[in-house]
Amino acid sequence: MHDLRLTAREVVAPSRRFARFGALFGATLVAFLACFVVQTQDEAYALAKPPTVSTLPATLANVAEGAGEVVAVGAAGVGVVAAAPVEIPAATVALATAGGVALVMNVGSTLKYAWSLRPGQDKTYADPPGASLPQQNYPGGLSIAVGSSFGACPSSTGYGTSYSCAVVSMSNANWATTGTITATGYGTNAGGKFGANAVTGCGGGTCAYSNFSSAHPSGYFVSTSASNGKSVDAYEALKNSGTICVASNGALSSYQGTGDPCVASPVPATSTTAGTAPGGTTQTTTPQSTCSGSGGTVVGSPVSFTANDTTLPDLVLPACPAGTVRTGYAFPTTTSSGTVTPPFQPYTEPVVPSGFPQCQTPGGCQLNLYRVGHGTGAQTVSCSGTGACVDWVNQTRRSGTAVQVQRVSDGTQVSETPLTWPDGSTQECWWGPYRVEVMECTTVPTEPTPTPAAPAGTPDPTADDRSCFPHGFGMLNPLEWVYKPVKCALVWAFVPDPAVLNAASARLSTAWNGTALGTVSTAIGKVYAPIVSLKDAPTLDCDGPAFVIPKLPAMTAPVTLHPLSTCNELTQYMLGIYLPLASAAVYVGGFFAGTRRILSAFGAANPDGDDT
Amino acid sequence: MITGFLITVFSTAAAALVGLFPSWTPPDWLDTAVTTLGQAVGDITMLSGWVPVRAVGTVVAFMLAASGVALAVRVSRIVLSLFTGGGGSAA
Repeated sequence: MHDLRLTAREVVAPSRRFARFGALFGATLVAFLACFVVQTQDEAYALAKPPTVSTLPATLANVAEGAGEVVAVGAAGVGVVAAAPVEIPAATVALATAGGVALVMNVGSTLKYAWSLRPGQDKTYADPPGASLPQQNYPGGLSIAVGSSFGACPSSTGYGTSYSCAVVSMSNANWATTGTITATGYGTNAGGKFGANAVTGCGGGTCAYSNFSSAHPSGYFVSTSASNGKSVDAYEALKNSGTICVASNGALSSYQGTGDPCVASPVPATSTTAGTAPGGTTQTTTPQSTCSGSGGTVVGSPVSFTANDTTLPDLVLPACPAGTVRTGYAFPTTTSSGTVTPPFQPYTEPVVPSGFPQCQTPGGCQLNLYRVGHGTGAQTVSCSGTGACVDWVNQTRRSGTAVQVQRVSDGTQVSETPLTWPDGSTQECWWGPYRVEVMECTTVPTEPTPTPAAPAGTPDPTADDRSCFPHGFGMLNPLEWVYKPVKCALVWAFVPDPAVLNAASARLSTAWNGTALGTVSTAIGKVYAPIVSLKDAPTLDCDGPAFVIPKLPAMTAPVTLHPLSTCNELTQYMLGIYLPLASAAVYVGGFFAGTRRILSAFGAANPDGDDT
Repeated sequence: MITGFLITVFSTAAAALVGLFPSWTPPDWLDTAVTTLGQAVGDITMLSGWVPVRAVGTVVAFMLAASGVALAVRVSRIVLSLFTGGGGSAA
C-alpha cells in the first residue's frame, strides 16, 4: 500500500499545476466573454442608431409598405444619382417609424430629397417632411397613389415631368374578386411602367374592357376614384384572361410587393362589363366519360353558359358503371358555329375508384378481414382482435367455387378461389360493403407456401456436428467412435441451454429491479444519460441561438439578436486557437481528477490534502 | 444439463438473496429533475460555439463514472474488511 501511495502522489502531483492552468483558462474565458459583450453591444448599437444608406442601389430595392421601412431609390438614368451616400433625415425616419414608407432620392448630382408616404393618404402627406423644396424637383414618384387625376405620370402637372410610375408595393391583389387594392409607387422617367394608358380613360366607376385594348398587355389596374386624387389607392382589378401581373409591362422586377405578382385567371375570361368582352356567345358542353371493360362511353348532362357569366357551372364527369373505372373524358362543346368534339383525354382515378360508390368519401370504408361460417351457428367473425384467424395463412387453403371480387387498387373484377379453413369456414376481405381480394387485407402472403423440402440425398450441413455417432466414411475411423459420443456427452452435460440462461438472467433482473438498489441504479442511469449526451452535442451554425425582443412601442419591428454569434472573422480566428486549447485542458484536467478520485478510493494519499 | 442446473440453482438463490433488499419507489420529483437536467444540457449545448461542450460532456461523464467506481471500491473494501481474511479500513 505504501508503494501505491507513492505512485499515486507521483500521478496526482500535476493536479496543482493544472489548477493554475485552470486559472489561466478561466482568465482567458473571461477575456473572451468581454469580447463577446463588446460585440453584443456593437450589434445593439447598430440596431439602435439611425439607418444610413451607405450606397444607393442600382435599382429599386427594399421598398415595402409598412412601418419603419426606410428605403433608398436609385435608378440609373432617371435623375437619381447613385453616387454619394445618403443619410436619411431624422424627420423622415420619425415619419417612417410612425407608419409610412420613406423614399430617399438623390436628384441631380447634388440635391438630396426625402419624403415619405403614409399608406392610405394622399399627396399632402407625401410632401417631404418640413421641406421647402420646390415641387418641380420632386421625382413625381407618388402620382400612382393619387388616383386618376395624377395617374398619368408623364404629364402630371406640378409633380415633375417625364416621370412614369412604377409600383413599389401592392397588397390585396386578387383576381378572384373586385376588391380594393392598396398601391404605393414611385416615378421614374424610364418609361413604360404603369403608364398613362393603364390609368387614364377611367375617370370613375368601372372601366370597360375596351378601355385597355392599347394598354399593357399583361395586366391592368383601374382607378375607380372619381375625384382628382384625394382617394389614394382605390384600384380595381379587372378580371382578364391569361395571366395578370400587378406590375405591368413585363417589368416584374419593379414589383416589390409580397408574393407572386402574377396570378392565373380562369378561362374563359370574364369581364366586369357584360357584353363588351369577347367570348359572350352561349355554349353547351356535355361531359363524357369512357369507362374500362364493358363500361363504354357514358354521356353526362349538358351544361349551357356564356363567357360573360359571373360564375361558371361545374362540369361534372358522369360516373362509370359499378365494377368499371373511368379511363378517359372529354367535353364536346356546341356553339352557334357548330360542335367541337375534342379527343378523349386519359383519366386516372384520383383516390377511390368509381367502382366503390359507397366508399367515395375518404376514410368512409375500412378494410376488414373476416372468417365466415366459423364455429357455432356458422358465425361471421372479424379477425381483428378476436383470435379467430390466428395463423390463418398456414391454416387455409384455396378450395371451393371461385367467386368474383373487386380489386381496391383499380376497381376491376377478379376471380378468387376462397381461402377455406379445415372446418369449412372461409376467409374474406371486405372494404365497407364490397368484398375485395383477400390480398387487400394483408401484406402477408395469402397463398400458404410450404417450407420447401430438401431434395432427397442432400446432406444436412449441420448434421455432422450434431450427430453423436460417426457416419459415412467416419465409421471407418475408430477415433470417431470415441470422439463423437464423448463430445455429445460433454455438450449435453456442460453447455447450458440458451433458454436456461435467459431464464436465469430474467430472474435476476426482475429481482434486482424490484429492490431499492435496482431502482437507485436505474435512477442514476436516467440522470447520467443527458450528461453523457453532451459529448454528442451537435455542431451549431455560427449564429448561435436567437433571442427575439418583441416589438415595443418605440420599435418598428421585433428585433432578433444572436448574442452568441461566432460569425465574426476575428472571433472565428480566436476561437480556432482557444477551443482546442480549452478542450485539451478540460480533457487533461478531467483525466487527472478522475484518476485521483479512483486512486483515493484505494487509499492513495491526496497531495492536495483533499481526500475526495 | 449440469451447468444449466447449477445456473438455475444459483440464479434462484441469488434472486432470493437480492429480494431481501427493501423495495423503493423513486419520488416524482426525480423525473422532473431529470427533465430539467435534460433541458439544462440542451441549453449548455447552445454554448458550443464558445465552450468546448463535447470535451466538458466527456469529462463530466468520465468523472461521474470514476466517482461510481470509487464508491464501489470503497464499499467493497468496507465489506471485505468485515471478514477476517480481509482487513484494513476503507476510510
